[in-house]
Amino acid sequence: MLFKLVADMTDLTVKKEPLDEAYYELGGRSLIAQYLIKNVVPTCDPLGEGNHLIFCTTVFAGTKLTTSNRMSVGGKSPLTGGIKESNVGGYAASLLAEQGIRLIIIKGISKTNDLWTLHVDSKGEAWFKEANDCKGMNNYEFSEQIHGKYGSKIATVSIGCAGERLYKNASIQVSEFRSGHPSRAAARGGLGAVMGSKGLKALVIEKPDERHQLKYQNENQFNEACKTLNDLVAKGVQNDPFHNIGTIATIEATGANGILPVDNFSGKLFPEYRKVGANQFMENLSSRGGKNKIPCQPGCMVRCSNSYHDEDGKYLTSGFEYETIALFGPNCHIADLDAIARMDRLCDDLGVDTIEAANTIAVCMETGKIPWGDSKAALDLLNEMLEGTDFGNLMGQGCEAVGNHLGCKRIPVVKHQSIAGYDPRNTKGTGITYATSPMGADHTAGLTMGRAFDDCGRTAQAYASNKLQVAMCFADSMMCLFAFTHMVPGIPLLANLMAGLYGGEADFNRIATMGVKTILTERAFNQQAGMTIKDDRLPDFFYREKSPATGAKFDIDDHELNVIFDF
Amino acid sequence: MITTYDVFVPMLMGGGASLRTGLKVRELGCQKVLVVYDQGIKEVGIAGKIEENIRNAGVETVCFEDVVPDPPDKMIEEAAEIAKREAIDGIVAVGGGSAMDSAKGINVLMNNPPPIVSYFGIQKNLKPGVPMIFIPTTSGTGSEVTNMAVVSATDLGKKDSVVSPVCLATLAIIDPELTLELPPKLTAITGIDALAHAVESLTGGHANPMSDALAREAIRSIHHWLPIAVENGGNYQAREALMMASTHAGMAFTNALVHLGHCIGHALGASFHIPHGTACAATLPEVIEYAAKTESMKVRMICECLQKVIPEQATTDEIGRIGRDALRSFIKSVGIPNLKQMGLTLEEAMSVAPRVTKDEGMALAPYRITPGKVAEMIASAYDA
Repeated sequence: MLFKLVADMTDLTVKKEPLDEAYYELGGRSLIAQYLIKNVVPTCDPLGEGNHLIFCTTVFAGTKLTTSNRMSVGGKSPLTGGIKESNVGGYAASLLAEQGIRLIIIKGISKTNDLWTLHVDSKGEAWFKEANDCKGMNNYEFSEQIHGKYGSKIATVSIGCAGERLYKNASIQVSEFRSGHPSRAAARGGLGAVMGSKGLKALVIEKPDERHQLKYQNENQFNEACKTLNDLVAKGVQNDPFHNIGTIATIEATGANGILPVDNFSGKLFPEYRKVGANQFMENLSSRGGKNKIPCQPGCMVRCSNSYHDEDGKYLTSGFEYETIALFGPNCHIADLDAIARMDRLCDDLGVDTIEAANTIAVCMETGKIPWGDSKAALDLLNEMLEGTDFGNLMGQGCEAVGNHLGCKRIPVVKHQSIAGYDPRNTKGTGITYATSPMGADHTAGLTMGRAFDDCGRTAQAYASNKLQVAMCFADSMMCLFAFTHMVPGIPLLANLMAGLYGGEADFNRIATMGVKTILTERAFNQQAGMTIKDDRLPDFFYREKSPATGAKFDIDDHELNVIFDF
Repeated sequence: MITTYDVFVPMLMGGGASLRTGLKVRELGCQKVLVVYDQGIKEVGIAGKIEENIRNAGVETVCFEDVVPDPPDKMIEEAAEIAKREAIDGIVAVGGGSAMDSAKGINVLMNNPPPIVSYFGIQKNLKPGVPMIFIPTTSGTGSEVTNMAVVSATDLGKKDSVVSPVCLATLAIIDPELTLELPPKLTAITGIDALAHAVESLTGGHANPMSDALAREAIRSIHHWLPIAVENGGNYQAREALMMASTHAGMAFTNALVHLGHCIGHALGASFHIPHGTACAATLPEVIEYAAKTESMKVRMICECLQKVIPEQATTDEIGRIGRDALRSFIKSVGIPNLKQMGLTLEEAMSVAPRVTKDEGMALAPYRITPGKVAEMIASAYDA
């Protein structure tokens, strides 16, 4: 039997109950979509008592499928005003799986100004603990304190001061396996603010004394398919730059072809991109005692994480990713990896989305508030968010709010959420994903780079985006997409996993339907929340301005966007 | 919009050009070539003439005369065995799409191990084969200028393509005289196949100004000359124009690629063994109506080529309807049957819709379409 925790902040009760039958074959993004459409009124105030904050594991959590212990966080987004699923690595989902817990529901809002942590202890008991002493405490200090108190066999899922202040760019930070650094972020869409609005500082999850045993309907069927799939990943990672270097390796590809964003999505090339590229990164790691190939969750074969040290060999940040580097780097005309690492650390610590924060900085540069390429000025602005100055508080409302305040004409957002580190004119399928994903501008919803004929051309881009968006929906329901990528030749076997664990036919339609149903449910939620087809468009400047790197504009016909989810 | 344009295959064109085959084979340095054709080409005497022409140039020939329509993988693999055993150093294909597709498949297997089905899709790293000369004997397929080999995978129960430079002819010899004997029905079917290539090239997402120009010229020419050639096969001027048109349409779709009409055509062909040209023509008018939603300028161009006037202020829906009706009336005028006349029930015809939307060729369609809408298009075309 699997369990769910239902916690109500209004009366500080938490109940451990059997998981609903209907949720067994759902996990991650698919579970969040189905839960929210049934339990949260789409027009509710995302920071009010009607919104629920959901933490859940995947369909295959607790199995031997590599990276299946990924956590999804869901709720109505205060940033987009629509449905939000933000998934994250780290240790928490593994421990929840060991606890036999698929789903944690946080309802209501604390009636007092008090702050709370929700503990799941080694006996499997769940209880609230008052945490007023942690008010204003940021993620690194919090995680160290909790790890100091409860030992290393725990995971934290916490917010920093940004979440407490209800910043719409606030993340929820999850501690990494082994190191305990709170560097894995459920970053997008401001779910940290939803957590803050409820008065919840953190989840603290202990390793159970007794590990929960999953009940397989046909364990052999599961194991056989699982082994084949894991073998595919093991083989695939050998030549995977994400494994051998890290996600920063993406810069080597995007920097050369105009996909890497430069100077607030100007569409230019950035001649110095290699200064923030793979070689510089690897050199800095080896000369300063940093490390790559770190798994963020137990059993991961991709191991894309890293530990990045400063010039003095002291730990600075981890989970230092392409998006952060591209957007704080070339997109702000900055070519200093150490400065970007300090920004990453600051964002993780106060708990904000690096994509949203970096786009906000770029908009500040675009409007002349600070000069292009000035990494010190950028860090100073980020510190304003930490300090909670007036402008810092405005920055916490996201890139669009700051852009509007400064009179910026080029604000790179879709559904009020900042665009990730890929110029949509030069990977048009990704642009289609940005425009049409119910999540808002989100590369993880379907990054089509290299999958259609010509990244700057129109042909087959909507087709690629549609296929990937569906696939990412079921990938985000079962595992980490970096491992999923290597499983593609064995995708039909996912049906055997489903049948082996839950019974029934090994029919791939069970998987594919999960993807389609999830997207349609999310769109229905967004429509009920008030979004229209006009929200499925990129900012005007991508249609008007040619990318100087390639001459391409975003020339996808509106009708093509309108019908992308006609199934 | 920025596009690329590829011209792959040099051509020798003109009445009697096939008489230079031997000279050209020798110029390419070949000493022993495989001549690929089907029994029909043998029976009308074209194959024998070309073989003799090659031998007179001092080049040995080996024949593979058993090409069948929709060339199956096994047949191609057998032919490749013969080619390797005989140590041929060139291939000459004489015939329609099947002969040329077979030759392409054989060439892929010259230096890449079988099975041919393992090379479906875009192949960038195949080992090169031998020089090839293609001599089309119909005005339809355009295969002489394309880099795709369409192969029927016997065990998989489907047709798919190998796309590779190894599928490209070294030279295409376009000799309209070879089509003078083509019977009216086959003239019409192959001509409409070329029309489908041109029309879909214009409306696909990969179109470019050069492919547009070639496709427009092909449509104009087919519209004018196909009825004449169907009426009087011996009209050389018509045959020459149609040969040019099919080659131009082939060049256009090599660049711009085809989409929904061919997906429907392939699904109908695979389910009911309808000839390719007829199957692609069945819903072509509805495909244009659908495309008008996003490609109305292109549908205007098509109508202009069909000498159909579209009012300046017409809406996209109106443009679509006018385009549909103009195409349908032309297709009917050359005697191409509709789905009902082909003997299908409405239910049978509509049943292919889910197969159509699963076809990877849908990647190239102007915009996404559901199986339900495809079924509606088939229903609209059924008895039209």
